[in-house]
Amino acid sequence: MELAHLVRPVNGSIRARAFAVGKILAGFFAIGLALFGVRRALAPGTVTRHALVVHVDASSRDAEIARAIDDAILVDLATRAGWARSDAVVRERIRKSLEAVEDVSDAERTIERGLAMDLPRTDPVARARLVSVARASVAQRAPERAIDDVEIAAFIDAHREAFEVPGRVRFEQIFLSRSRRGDRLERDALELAARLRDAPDEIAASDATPLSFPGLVDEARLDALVGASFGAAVMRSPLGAWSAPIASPFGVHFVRVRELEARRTSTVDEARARAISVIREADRAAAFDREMVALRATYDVAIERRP
Amino acid sequence: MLRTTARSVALLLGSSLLCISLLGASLVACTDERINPAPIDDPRLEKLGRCKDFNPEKTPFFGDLHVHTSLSLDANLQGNRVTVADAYRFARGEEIGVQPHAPDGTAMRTAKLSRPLDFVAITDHAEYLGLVYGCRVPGSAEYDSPACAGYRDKPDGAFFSFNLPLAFNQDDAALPSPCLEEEGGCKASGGLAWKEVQDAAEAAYDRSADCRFTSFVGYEWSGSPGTLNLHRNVVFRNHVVPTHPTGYFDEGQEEGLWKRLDADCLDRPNGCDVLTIPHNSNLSSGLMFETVDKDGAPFDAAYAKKRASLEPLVEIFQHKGDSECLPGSTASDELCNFEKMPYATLASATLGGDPDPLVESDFVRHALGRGLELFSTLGANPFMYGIIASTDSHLGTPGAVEEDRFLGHGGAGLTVRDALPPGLPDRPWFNPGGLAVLWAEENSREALFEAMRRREAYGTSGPRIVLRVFGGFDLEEAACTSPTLVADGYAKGVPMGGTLAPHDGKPVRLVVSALRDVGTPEHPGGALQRVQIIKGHLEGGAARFDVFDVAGGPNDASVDPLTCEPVGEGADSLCGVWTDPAFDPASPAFYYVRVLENPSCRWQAYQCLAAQVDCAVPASITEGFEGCCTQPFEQQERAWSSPIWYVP
Repeated sequence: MELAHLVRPVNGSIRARAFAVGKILAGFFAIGLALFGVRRALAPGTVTRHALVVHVDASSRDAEIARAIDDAILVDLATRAGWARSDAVVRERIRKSLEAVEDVSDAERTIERGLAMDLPRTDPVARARLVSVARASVAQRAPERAIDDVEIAAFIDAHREAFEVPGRVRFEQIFLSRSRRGDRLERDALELAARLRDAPDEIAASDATPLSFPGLVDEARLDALVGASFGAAVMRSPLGAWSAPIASPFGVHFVRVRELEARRTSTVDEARARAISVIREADRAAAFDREMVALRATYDVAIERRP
Repeated sequence: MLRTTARSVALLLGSSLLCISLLGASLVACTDERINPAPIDDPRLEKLGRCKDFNPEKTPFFGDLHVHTSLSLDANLQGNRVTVADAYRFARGEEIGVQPHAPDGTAMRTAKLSRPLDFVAITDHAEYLGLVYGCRVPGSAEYDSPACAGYRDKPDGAFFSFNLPLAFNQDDAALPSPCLEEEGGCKASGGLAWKEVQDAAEAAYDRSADCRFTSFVGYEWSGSPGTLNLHRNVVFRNHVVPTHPTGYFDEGQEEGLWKRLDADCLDRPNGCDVLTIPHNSNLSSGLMFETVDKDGAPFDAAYAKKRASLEPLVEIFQHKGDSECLPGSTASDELCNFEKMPYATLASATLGGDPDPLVESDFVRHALGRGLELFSTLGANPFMYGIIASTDSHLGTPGAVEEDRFLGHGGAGLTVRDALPPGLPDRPWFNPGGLAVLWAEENSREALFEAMRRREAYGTSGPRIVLRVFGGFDLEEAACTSPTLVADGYAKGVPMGGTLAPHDGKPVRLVVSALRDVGTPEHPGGALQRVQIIKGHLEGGAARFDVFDVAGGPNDASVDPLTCEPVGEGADSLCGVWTDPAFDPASPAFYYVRVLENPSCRWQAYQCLAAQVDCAVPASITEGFEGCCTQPFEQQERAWSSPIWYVP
């Protein structure tokens, strides 16, 4: 690519502007043609029927044959939209396929040769690429519809596991530091456990920690800050009473749970954005299926089984 | 001097003419409707305290404020197909596919975080948003242009062709075809891309009281005249954002960016708020922390205040190296020698070649010192930087910082588009990057943005070290054994990022407490080795720096060269109370903390061991593994706190 083509002229000459306008018009024309072609292919009312021969193995089962038909339709769609000629991956594949047998220095001539040899359909990599591009193009045609809270609530209800909110706990703690107490840690912990049993509200001074735990915190965050299994130990602790000593990499912790919020399912308000995103994805998948039904109706497909 | 004196005439001519000058890879119609007319009573503008995890003594939240997806030109041309929504899914703990891709679009690698992040800002490059979007979407205004055909057919050539204008001088940088103004400026496509960024952030943000994940709308302004890096990430407080991002082609100077943010955001009575975070000063050859403005005039107090206000943070560490300090320059500090890039410009960092001489003024410690010097003459400090780190992932993988599974950078360096290169996945001088940590009351945009604004933030080179720092004059000597360490710290002092005023001539005292990263059962975190305080102050009007060990210290820890397993003892937690032994109540000063882990294997060591590379046996150094024998085998992961300033 030439630099001069990329950089904006400092004082855009009339010729440069005319060239640019020409390019734009040519671009619109090309886009229009491509869209027209795709739309015609997708619109059952303006049927232009296409004949398609699909080759499958003799042993292919129905699902495999159906998949082969859909792939062939998508390849045909992509080819008629011009992507076999313009897609970078397909072009490169054609070039690589031909470079061993002929001069490929003229890129456009090479592509034309590859197209004439039907390489985009017969080369498995190029074919897979065209299927992928066409599939994405068809899927993008899903119209976006309004999704109300009734639908969201039903969706959440049908997918409770995906919208589950873990339980949370609010607690206080007494922390005994291993780095400060060293070998005395175990003995100190046992003594403190005994004192807490006898006088649970007379809390002896504990060690410093830079952590002050969040108001309501779930198991995952506790694990992330204090170490795996600490969160589960806190969640299992009795409400309103001091726990048994809980070991962590930093020492020993006694916790007293003040509030426990049970595991539950998200409300509509909480899950609206995520639910809409998942529903829209499902819409796109359904739209793709619908578009494929319409597309199939425009093809006369002959199956040829290979021995 | 690279700074040019000319500037955009448009800025002086009011909004209507300004619109005419907009060449951004972005966007929509140029009218006053450029600005989102969101009302100030928009229910989505939050108040602090909506989350169940509200904790007045604050919680450390771990995140990444620098991430690129397939909407960034360099990432896209290198094969990135991760959408903004995908990147957020990854940050929340889901597995995603990453490049290279098979011809049918199947990703050849997958990635998954062992621990989700708490927050992320996706910061795609503003400059070519419209181009990247338009060249990929059939039917767009740009798709069938010759330039877009080149973009798709010859991505390697396009990578350099399109990046080239970003290296032009500030006044000459302009969008190339197909984004020329007469071609439509890629505005419609840019608008759709910017909408995708906003929509994905909104969908990912947990607005419920559970507050499990926070997304920030953002972008990167990517000015790099002469490939000297002036990049800034732009992070918005909430969903109220300008209708287009401002790129280098819109504003060639950082001052222009700030003015545009004033006009499009901060001056608008609609709840819009924003800050900018510079990064990779290590690749600016002295440009990032110059002390003259765009016209070549020395900073004045107004400039200093403006910069400190809009830029409260600097990214000290990421994929493309460490920017803390220059080894051997300012203080006796052998531990400064960590992840230094051998290059001083973006071009050489990308292309390799002979090492560049590194420039002392490119480093954050130097800038903090220059800030003190300027404060003594201006009465304001333009370089009052708090500290964060991030990844700068161009794979769309926020927070993927584990050394033993580095997938590469994805934007510069090796191309991993259609196939994995032989050997290491990227240039050996890159690294997996770091994390930003914010001390906030809750995991919400409001709380986290305020933490950024007040600099109650720190960065790590990857581990989730919990680091707390308080400074004051009356903090207890026995703070490290006090169960009320945190409450006392806030009551009697200031946290990291804060400022202390004189107090009867008493010396500054710091309390520093660190917990090691506990990791996961599969990937346990490393033990701590030591906690250091780096003090900067003025001596004879010039900045001077000293390094003190305040907890822990040198030990015999190392790694097993055959397994990468850690060897030797370390600490699970360290705490120290330190009183400045040479405190001068008349001299401004800053103090930041550096926490070091015991040595651990650098990322390439894991891959070199797996490939059985033996640097003593040349035949074992197969293609792509040369970096095994040029990079240090081990390193010391670390965390850097924001400074606490003393301002007499």
